[in-house]
Amino acid sequence: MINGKLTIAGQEFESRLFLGTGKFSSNELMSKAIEASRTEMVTVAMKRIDLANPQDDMLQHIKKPGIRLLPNTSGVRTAEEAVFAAKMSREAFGTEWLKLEIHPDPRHLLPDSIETLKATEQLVKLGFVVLPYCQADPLLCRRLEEAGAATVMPLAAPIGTNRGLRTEDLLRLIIEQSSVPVVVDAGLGAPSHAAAAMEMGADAVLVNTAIAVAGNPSMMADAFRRATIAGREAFESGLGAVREEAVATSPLTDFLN
Amino acid sequence: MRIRVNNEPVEFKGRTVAELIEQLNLPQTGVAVAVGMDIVPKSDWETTEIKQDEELMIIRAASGGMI
Repeated sequence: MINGKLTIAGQEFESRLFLGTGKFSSNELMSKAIEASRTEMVTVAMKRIDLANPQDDMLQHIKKPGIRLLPNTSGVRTAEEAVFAAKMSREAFGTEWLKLEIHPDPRHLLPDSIETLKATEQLVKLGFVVLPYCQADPLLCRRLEEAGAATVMPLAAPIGTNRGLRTEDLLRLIIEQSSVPVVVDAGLGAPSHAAAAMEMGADAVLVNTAIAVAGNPSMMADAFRRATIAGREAFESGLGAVREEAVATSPLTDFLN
Repeated sequence: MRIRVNNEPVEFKGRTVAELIEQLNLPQTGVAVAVGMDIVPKSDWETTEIKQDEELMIIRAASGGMI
């Protein structure tokens, strides 16, 4: 049983698994996966309304009691565009919470650290609760925290790659130093990756592609749910030290001699 | 008058942002409107007038991710 709840900007969360909503083959599958994950935080993007199909509304598949919508700024390339997108998002969704993501290069979708820091500084001043997607860079994460970010969201691997904790050593440094929650975001491709991140002491994980493209997204969402809990419980229990040499678990008596 | 909404030409028969939302059959909630780069809060939809050839952006929620 997990003791501590996750608190972000004064709001408590039971679930430490956040879900993204991209790449699902249908809204129905997305909705079932969200339910199976028991997540309390779901990210959504913004798009220009298709005038030919104005009533197409994916929000109805997400809006459920106990789930916080976390709009993201996906698609922006600069801090200036991010601030504009944030204001549009506040108007459309009625929330000041924002997943800030500025990844201008479609080839690797890596976040632009300079623009991300600049946007965080501006958005915090404008009253936004900023959760920035960022490089797994301990110095950058410290700067984001100083700028008033509500969390840091360093990447495990590039978005959508399913490659797992490629930035493990840096994530450990970030987790050790941070006084805001650390949400490991992007690249987590299997429940074991989520469990490993949580065992390291991450406060939460954000998963999208691995669940959305699974043959059975809701079963995968449930697997991630359990892995996230298992990893957190292991962290809270206190993992045993790693040693080079064997240490007997039973007393080595000499009864056979 | 002729305006552009989300990069599409639109023949607008009304005057205000609120009338445009109605003409386009858009929902009242979950959307945000900008005229040029100026965001129009919902409380100002009734009083904000649209001029000939203005460019509007109207957004709403989408899945994802990259847009």
